[in-house]
Amino acid sequence: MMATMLNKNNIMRRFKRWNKSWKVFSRNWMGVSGLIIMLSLVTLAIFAKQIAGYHVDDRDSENIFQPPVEGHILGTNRHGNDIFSILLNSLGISLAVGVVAGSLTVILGTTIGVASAYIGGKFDTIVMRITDIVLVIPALPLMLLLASLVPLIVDKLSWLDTIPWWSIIAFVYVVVFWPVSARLIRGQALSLKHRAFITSAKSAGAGNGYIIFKHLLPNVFPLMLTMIITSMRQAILYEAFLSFLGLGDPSNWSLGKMLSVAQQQASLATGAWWMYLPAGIAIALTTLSFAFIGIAFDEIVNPQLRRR
Amino acid sequence: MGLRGYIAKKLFFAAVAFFVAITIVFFLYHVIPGNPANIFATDRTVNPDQRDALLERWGLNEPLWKQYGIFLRNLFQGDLGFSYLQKMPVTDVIGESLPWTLLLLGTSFVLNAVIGIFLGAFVAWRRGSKLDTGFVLTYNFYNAIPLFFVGMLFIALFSFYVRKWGWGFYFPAYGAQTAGSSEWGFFPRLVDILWHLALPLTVLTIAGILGWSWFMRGNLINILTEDYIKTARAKGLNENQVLYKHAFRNAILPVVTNIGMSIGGLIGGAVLIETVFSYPGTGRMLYEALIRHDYPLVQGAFIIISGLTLLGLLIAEIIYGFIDPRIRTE
Amino acid sequence: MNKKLLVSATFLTLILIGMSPSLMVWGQEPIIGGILHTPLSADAHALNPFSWTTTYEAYIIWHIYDPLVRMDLENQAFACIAESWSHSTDYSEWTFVIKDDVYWHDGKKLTVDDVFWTYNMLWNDTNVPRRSWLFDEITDLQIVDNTIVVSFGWGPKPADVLYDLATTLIVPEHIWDGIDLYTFANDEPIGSGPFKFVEWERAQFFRLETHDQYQFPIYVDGKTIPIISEVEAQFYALAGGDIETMANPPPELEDAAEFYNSSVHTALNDYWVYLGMNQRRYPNNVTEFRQAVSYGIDRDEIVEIIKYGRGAVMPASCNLPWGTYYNPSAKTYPYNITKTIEMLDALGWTDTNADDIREDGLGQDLEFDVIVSADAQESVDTVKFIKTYLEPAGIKVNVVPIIWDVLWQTVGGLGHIDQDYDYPGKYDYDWAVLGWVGFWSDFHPSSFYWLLSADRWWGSDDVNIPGWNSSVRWEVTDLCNDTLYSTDDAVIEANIDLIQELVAEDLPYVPLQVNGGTYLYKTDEYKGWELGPTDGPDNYFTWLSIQLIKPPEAGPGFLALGAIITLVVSVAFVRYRRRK
Repeated sequence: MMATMLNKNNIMRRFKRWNKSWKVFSRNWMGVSGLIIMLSLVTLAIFAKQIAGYHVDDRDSENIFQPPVEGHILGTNRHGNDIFSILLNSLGISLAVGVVAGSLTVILGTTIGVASAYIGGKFDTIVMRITDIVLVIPALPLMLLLASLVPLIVDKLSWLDTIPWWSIIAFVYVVVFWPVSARLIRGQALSLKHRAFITSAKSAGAGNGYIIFKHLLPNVFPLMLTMIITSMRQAILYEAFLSFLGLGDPSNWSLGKMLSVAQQQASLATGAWWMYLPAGIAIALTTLSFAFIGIAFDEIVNPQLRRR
Repeated sequence: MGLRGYIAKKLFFAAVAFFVAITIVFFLYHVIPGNPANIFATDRTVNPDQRDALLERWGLNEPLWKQYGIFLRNLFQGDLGFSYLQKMPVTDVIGESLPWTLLLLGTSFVLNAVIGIFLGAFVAWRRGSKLDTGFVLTYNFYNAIPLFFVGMLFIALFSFYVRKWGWGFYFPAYGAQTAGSSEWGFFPRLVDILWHLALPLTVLTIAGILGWSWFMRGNLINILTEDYIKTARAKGLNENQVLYKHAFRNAILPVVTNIGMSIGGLIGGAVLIETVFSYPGTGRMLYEALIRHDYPLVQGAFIIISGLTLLGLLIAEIIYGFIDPRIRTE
Repeated sequence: MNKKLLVSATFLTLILIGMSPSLMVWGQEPIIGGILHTPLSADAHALNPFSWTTTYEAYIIWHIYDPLVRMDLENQAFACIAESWSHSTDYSEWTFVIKDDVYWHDGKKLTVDDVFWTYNMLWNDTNVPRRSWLFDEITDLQIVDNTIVVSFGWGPKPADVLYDLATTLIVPEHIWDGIDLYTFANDEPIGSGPFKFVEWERAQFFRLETHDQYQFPIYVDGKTIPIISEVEAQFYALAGGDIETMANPPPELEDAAEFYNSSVHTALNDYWVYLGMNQRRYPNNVTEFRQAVSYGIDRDEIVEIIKYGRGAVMPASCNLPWGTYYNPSAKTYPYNITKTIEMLDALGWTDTNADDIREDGLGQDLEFDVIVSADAQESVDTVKFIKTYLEPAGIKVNVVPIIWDVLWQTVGGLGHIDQDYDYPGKYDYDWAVLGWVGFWSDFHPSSFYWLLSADRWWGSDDVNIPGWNSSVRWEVTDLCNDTLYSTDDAVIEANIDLIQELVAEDLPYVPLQVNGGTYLYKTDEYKGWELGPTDGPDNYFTWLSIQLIKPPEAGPGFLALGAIITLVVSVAFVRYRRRK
């Protein structure tokens, strides 16, 4: 199998296919703008320390709760922290939660879903019963339970101390949401399993690995990609929900926490727009760029969508 | 396998899943440190011995497996337990909040499903058009902002600024009814309840409709690219016939499955919406009980909510079995 | 004759004035009517006066039930059910005369038997959670005519008896007799308080109506208490005229209060926050080190920025900075980071390995994990501030937010788990940020006994959160006991002054700030708000004096409009669907 992957012709073919995909992608305005926004957000988040000019905990006692003033392009909050610096920092954390939780959930879900569909039989039944169990417990309350449980585990295992809080939230998200993606992927894989091209490959004597990697996964991939995108956005939002309900990281910022703090301080009533607008726009841009990229990908892998 | 066998099988598995789920919740929740007596913790007049006495009275210093045994025994007798803090049977406490949640979620659910499915089909049929792009943008924008913040925006606008600007109408920012409305008679009270329902319902339903139609749109687009649709077209069926006779029917199947799966998410949304709008539902009650370690109440609420979710899943599967007989044999 | 009449009339009026402050607006008939709306931010649990769990229930319960004696706005005794009280010369026997015109909400008369029943029940059941500690000290309880005589083995002071014991809420014997106190939901509470229970829709609202046989006149018809969980929604309700008071609005709204016909009242709460330095661990047990840390914390800024200026700096003496027993000459620790540095230098704890962190006498870094409740954002922020304050002095602070229950368990607040007084994890912390509520140190001579005496549970070896164990601890314990049993005011005052000086010097706790509250109350519809230095505008004395400014007008105009709109929309919707 390795040999076929490294075959020169194959590589050329793959390159051409990528090239073609890129052409399709670059013609799609949603995809392009999504990618541009995404890249710039990621750049901002990565170079947050260099761009911001302030540490998140730096307090400017001269400028407390100010709308944009000199030196603070997005103003300051009630502690005199620079909103722009907080925004960049939060962006990083929210993106991290989104990417880690979103992709892990779907990768785990895909592995289990495809395995379950392909192996079938008892294994399939057991896996589906497990997903049933997790699905039966309401998601947000279960997350609340887990989120209050995980710091305890961290407390017990001292090596976990260094793990940032956001990764705990990502972990909780994965635990709660993998069954959803596992089920959807399994459904897709099941229907593929009985398709002509796979049964014919089987009868031609193709190995399991070949069928899974060559036929099943590439065909599940589009669904997986859309789900990763949805899941990333959802993870960012769930992190915000936990912040709102008081289970977020109290010593660090995230976009969701910025919004929930603005909400607790009644910024809508006081007209302190710099408290919620930057965070709101940042969340909206992040999730929108995810969504746009997702739509564009959809059109690449599913060329018929391009008609009409 | 006949339909009856199919349903029996599903029921059995549902019962097993339910049982395991509540067991998991029971143990998860009991391992979290803290206990309901901690609510008295910082009161100088309540000493540790008094807190101990309370724990003993509540049976909380028994070993965990013993507590679990008692919990199960009571459960099989239909007794969900007695709330420590509310001092009422759990069924009564939930009974007071569940109607409100059902009113909010039920109404929202029906609106979501009906409007969402048709809107999804409508948009999918016109995919690539300006309308479709508009829909995609609306969906993504609305879902980009956390639900609690959308709620706060609606409250700010429709219960504060409209009054400040003197527009002559507003919607309440909290509660499910005006205090004392129980004495107004049936119709005025109904209007009052609907008036209070308007804002939370709107926020929840917009999100729901968009979500459902997004799902439906995706499905339908996939199906519209299938071969049999091409065949149908080639047969010379007109577009409406293609859409409703072939595509729609097949696209609705996963949506039915989604009904069951979305109930859990709906309840999650209810926790947020009920908190933001101070709505007296089960979600908010569960959240408050959760932070105060009112074990019986939390377990009870989980059982009821899980039960409802399960019921939804079950109904979905049975409908599925009716619509698509192939599934029964699988 | 005429003169006599005049004198007695004046007398009568004076009594009336004393009884109801609203009659100060003389010659003007009070306007009867109106419903007062005061919000609550979370739902109550069970309205049981002896096992209430949150302040939300306590708030409702104190509307419905009355004690023998209430505390007034200046924290003085105010006769409620008791008409008067007296004590034997050695304070060991207390006699309360019960008023003759007090009725339960169901119309039955409140008699001395009800008072006896309540007291007797609490005396005999030591496991009742909300019960004065003085019940443990009672030796005899008797009814003599219309008085109740309480005897103690020793002579508790008026402050103890009046504020601790006599504030016990009285419940009717004819309803409570024979019930199980621990499972009694008390759904339809019958009390003798100023307001009668009408309706409670869980998580929605309470409706109370004025008790028409109450011993003092009340002018409003009743109270409605909506449950509004979000501050922002509370403010909208206040601005829209749905409610008349709210607590702790965001500071900007406070400034805009006048625009919404509201006034602002600020008060300090009996709730202070401290930094607990675990003195079971070196170097926290070095007094000079605790002092150095105390100098290095800018409490003024914590109050100003984190608490929005609501509150005050808590004196190192652990005594609230107002009230009769406050000793202003006890040592204070104004922010002075150079002093911190000097003191650390004097201890010889310098940075020897050039990592910007000093080492203590054992050569270990001065690095401390501060545990703090993860759901209290303000406390976490406080620790973050402390971290930046102590950084230049070469002390490294790490913020460790954990769940409240774990925090409480770790600092030893539980005392014991399943009879295990040395449960795993107990006292396993460096520093912690916590608070104390309701020790009444502003007016109660026993506050130090409750908090610090090694004989009482909070200061005992089973709990002793900061692990205080210097020689001063035993000195303070002796002084506390001396104060508890002493009846000589001069001795008491001298003792408490001395305790404060000792405590401020030895620093068992490192106090940070006293929390305060800001309240908005509407002044366009009602008048007669009573305000106190430690109370919000919604208190018992306000209930007795509040009245409408103008006679009420009816008309739920908005409601009708909302109804019409809802109807129109739904009809339009149905029509539209049909046409389709």
